[in-house]
Amino acid sequence: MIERDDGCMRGFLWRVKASLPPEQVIGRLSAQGFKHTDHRVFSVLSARQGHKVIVVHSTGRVQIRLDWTTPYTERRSEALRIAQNIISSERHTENTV
Amino acid sequence: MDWKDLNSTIEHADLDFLADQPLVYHCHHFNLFLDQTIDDFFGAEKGIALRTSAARAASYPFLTSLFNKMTLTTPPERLLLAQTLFSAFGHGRLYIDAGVSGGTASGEFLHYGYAWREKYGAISKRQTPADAFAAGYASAAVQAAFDTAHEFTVQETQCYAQLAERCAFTLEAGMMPTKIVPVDESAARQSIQPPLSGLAEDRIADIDAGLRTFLGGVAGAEDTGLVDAFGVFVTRHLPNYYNAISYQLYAAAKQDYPDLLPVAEALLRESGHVCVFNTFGGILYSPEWEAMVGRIEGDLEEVVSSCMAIARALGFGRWIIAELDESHFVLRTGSEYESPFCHVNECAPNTNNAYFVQGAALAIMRLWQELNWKEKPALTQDLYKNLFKSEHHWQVEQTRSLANGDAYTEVVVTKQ
Repeated sequence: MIERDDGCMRGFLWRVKASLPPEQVIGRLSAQGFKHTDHRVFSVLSARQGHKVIVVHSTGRVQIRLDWTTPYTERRSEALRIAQNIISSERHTENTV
Repeated sequence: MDWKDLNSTIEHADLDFLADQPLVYHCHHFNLFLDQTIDDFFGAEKGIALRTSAARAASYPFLTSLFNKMTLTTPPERLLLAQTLFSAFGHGRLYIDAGVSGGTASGEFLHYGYAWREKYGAISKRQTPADAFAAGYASAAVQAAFDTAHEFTVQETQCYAQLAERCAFTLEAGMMPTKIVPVDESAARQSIQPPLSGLAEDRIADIDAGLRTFLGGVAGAEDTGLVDAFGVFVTRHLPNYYNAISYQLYAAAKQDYPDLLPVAEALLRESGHVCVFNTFGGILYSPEWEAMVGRIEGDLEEVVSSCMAIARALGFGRWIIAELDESHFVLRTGSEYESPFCHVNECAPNTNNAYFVQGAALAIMRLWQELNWKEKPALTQDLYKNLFKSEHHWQVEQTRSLANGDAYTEVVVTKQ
């Protein structure tokens, strides 16, 4: 479901492997309380806890970018939790983000 | 007036300023490497003193200029702005509680200490505090806020990088000798030359403009005072600080340890490698880049022109590709941030002065040649060692310098 994404940071960046239409990812995360900032060619969805999800409109690439304060040992599980929220078709409340 | 209204750019030079004071973007890999280079050369105690003093010397004119232009007259409003900017620039949260005779400061998520612990904490135990820049900045902020004739010495008494919960500083009235003449916009303008045009200029200009628009919107976005852009810890920083510590290292090596001068120069050059590998590499790999420019495929001109655009957007100057083939790259620029400092401080009276540009140019060619762009391996420390520490066949030479009165700074990279 997720793999370490390219970059130079220790477990902060995760690529979501599922192939979902960008608008679907944006819709699901927005419904879960993520704040959507549209940069025209990509979107940044920000959780209150500081996590972000970057969605590339043209290619569908989805990167989870964990908040810098996330402890190292919790990074994979936290990224996995967000990825599950992206892939799951269930609606979640803001408190689950 | 909002402090953001005091941002300015010499557009044809890709140099950025706030309240007439120069600023650039650099990430934590570069910042930590350069600081460590100073400590390795001078020893930790002297290195910390030098870095703290340099931070104060760079920060004081920056803050006084800002306070004057915003007509802030009371110490509380001045200190508040100093702390706000510190966070907005990605340096973390700094809380200053001081008066004319001194006081204390504390910090959370301070860029250097936090990033050091994140990068090295699992493999190394730090013996000395990491936040000399924050210390010097706090010293300058108190002096500028209270408009005192005296300076403030400052000690970091506990540091997050040394496993403390937060960072703490003490400030006392005292002298902190400064040997540098900081560069301001006026001095920078005297150094820059008319813009040059090179290969792939349209592409570089387009990407530069897009990156600049994006970067303009990210500063100060995080509650922690840490700024994320392209997936790295980014700071907006004072090149006067980088130059002060770099050229004091150069001067000390030249005067006291001439046998070590080539080593010092190589380390200053390597700061350019570190920046290109981590920051440029991180940007090229990022989803933002993929969206704004497209997936990078690894073509020579594509990689090098992309790097020119990144350098411009980060405020390093209007770097151009003068010549390029698979064994030869000539980088020229009529503006960069090292030469103005050398010029006003008379600190490197020869052509060989722009160490950062030299290292960056060399690293760009090595990155292009040796990185597997199709597979895009993670930009780890191990990969860095393999690419940059291994036996290699590239050489770099600086052949022109703005600091020397030339029409441009020129760096030539050749494959042996």
